[in-house]
Amino acid sequence: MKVICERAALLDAVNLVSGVVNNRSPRPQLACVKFDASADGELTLTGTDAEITLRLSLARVDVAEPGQALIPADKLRQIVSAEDNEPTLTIESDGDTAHIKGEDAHFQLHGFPADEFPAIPSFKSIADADPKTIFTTSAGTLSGLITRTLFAAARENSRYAINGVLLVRDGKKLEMVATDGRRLAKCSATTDAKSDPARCIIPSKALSMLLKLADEPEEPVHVAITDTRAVFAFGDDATDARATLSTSLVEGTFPPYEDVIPKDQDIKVTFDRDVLASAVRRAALLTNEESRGVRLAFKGETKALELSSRAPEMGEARIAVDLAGYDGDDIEIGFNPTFLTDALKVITDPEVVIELKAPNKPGLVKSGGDFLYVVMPVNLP
Amino acid sequence: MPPWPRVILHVDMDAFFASVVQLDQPELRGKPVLVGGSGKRGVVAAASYEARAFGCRSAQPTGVAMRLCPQAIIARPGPGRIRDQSERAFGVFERVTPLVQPLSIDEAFLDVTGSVRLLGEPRAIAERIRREVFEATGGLTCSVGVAPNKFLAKIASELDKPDGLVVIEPERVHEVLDPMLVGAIHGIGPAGEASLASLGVRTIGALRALPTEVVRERLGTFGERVHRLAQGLDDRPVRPDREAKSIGHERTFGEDLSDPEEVRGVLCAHAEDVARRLRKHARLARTVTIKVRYGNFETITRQRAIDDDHERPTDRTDAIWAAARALFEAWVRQFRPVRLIGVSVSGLSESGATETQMGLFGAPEATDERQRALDRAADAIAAKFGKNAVRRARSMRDGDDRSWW
Repeated sequence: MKVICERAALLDAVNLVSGVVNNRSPRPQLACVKFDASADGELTLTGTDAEITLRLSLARVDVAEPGQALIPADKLRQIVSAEDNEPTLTIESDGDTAHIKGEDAHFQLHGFPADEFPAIPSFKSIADADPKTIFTTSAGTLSGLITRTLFAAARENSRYAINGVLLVRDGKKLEMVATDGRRLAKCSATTDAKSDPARCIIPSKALSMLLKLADEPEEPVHVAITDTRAVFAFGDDATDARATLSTSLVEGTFPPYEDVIPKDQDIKVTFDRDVLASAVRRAALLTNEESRGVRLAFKGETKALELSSRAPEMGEARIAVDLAGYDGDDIEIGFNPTFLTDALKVITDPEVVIELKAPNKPGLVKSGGDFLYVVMPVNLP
Repeated sequence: MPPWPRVILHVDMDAFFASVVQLDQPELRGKPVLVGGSGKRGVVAAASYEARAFGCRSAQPTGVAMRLCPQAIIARPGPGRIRDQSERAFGVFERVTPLVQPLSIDEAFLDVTGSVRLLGEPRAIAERIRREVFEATGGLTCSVGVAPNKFLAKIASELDKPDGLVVIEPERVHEVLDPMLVGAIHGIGPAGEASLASLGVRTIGALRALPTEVVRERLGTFGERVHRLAQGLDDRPVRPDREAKSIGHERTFGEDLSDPEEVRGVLCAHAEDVARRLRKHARLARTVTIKVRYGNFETITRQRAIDDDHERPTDRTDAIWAAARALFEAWVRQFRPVRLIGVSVSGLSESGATETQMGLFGAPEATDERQRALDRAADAIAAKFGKNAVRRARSMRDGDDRSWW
């Protein structure tokens, strides 16, 4: 194999693909990026961590000699990144050794035989094998769903199912739901065409990778979901995609999230998103490990919301927010301010609605009709 | 002789790290020894007195120290030895008085005012401490300063280092202090020295003779305190570290344990004991650490946050055991026979006043209440019949020949 690549494009691709690779994989072949140069002048890079596989097709490349190579991802990334004076790099394989050549540099990297890399099923082979559902959305829609849910997913919870994000497909509806057991984010979108219903839990790492791939909002994304995998292909044509990410699904049962979304909240207050975010952020300044909660006191008489916090041995904070239109009852409720700001950060609409019922009942944050966030209160002493 | 208003001791182990090494490795005794990093960016943690004679000192880059004393030997204390020896020394202190304020691993203030009637004259108490530290550690020396307050005690311990004992009786305070240079007062640096020197003041005696206002003028708000120190006055109390930073249990086995299941039993017993102590002291913990020492003394520790589903600190036995167990199960693949097993909790806060984050799913409050009721019942039984009267079945398999009936 011999390919001549534009360095900048190669670096972008290598950075993305090596983001998937587990450099400490017990199988050194899996710590490699696979180069695949075809006779018709296309170069693809593939990396995997055994759960997630990412395959990128590289533009601006000259295939001088088709072939394949397995190159250790970490060193490859370092070399391509360090050769920052070179407009192009030549990558050549010679047996299991890869040569990376610039104007004044020649790196020889010991790799592995290309056929020791696991076979990666293509989007087409998965689409042909009767998946549960297959549909097309856009990169912008996909990244909007991920951005507004992934932050609420659990990180290392012993209930594995909530360490991922639930994807729900039903007719034209496409939803994502994430929870860590204390708050829950749900975001909805629609697609142009209907497809079969399906539900699956996508690992957080795969979603972070998808966010990096989804940088062209208008680009079509083809999605196929089977019993064990989900595949996302970016580009006009799913079988000849610019990028294809395939991930195994998180096993387990997602908790019954519909049941915990409150339906009959008595108090509904509309806020300017930035005003509320600023108030919560400032009140959070006087919280600490022992006293993390911020108290929100809604007052009907003075038509005001007072946020207060208290950090033992440090001090207290009080922030007043004017609620001109407030005619509800008085209520005081405590929240972890991080949970509120996390949601306010990803809301794109300038207005948010806060809905409450009682100090020991969940609070609801809504925005734009497509985003909903349930957050459990903190019992303040 | 006027009575001592307070009797304060400052105990400072002599070249502690280096002395521990020389004690454990007899071939290094009498030789210049540096303890610390030997790498390019290494720093000397301690220099033996033989090395100090060449100008080596702690916090010096190892390279500099080696140039000053090329024959110095760079050594490393055995694993856990520093802590073991420190604990032995502090054990001695705590037998003398509960008022022990650790300043570091090898240095402490002791308030022995209340021990005089029981243990004798201040000098006798200090001699006893020096003797017992020597015996408990198997040969480490310390220097002790005895004085009516912390400031003077610290000065006293420096006067006859190493292996020294200096008593500054109340009536000798000025006699000792007056000839010393003002720089001996902590907080008077080169700038303060220069400022005082411009008044012709170089000694503490001369400083003492100045009116307070002049000292304040020269040294700012700090001046008042300095002026009091110059007169030998210092009423800062000895503050014992009452706020425990962690609570732990560990046990060394006569013979290394080679069965992981037995180790689990010990861990569970430790978790129970630690949780009971947390409850007894009305504390909640955030973090659990397990410690494993192999037969060759290699020691590893692993820690994680206690996960009771709500990220809040807890004193529940089940939660602490679950965290300890999770740490153990993550490590057990590398299992080797172990010599010591320990469980400790840290990130302590007072129970009672904490807020609780509510959960979305299930009824964690109910679980919590059930577990607490169980812990309360077990504590009540333990209080009446001893801690082995009721235990989790697993912790009874801990290789100990207790009688269980």
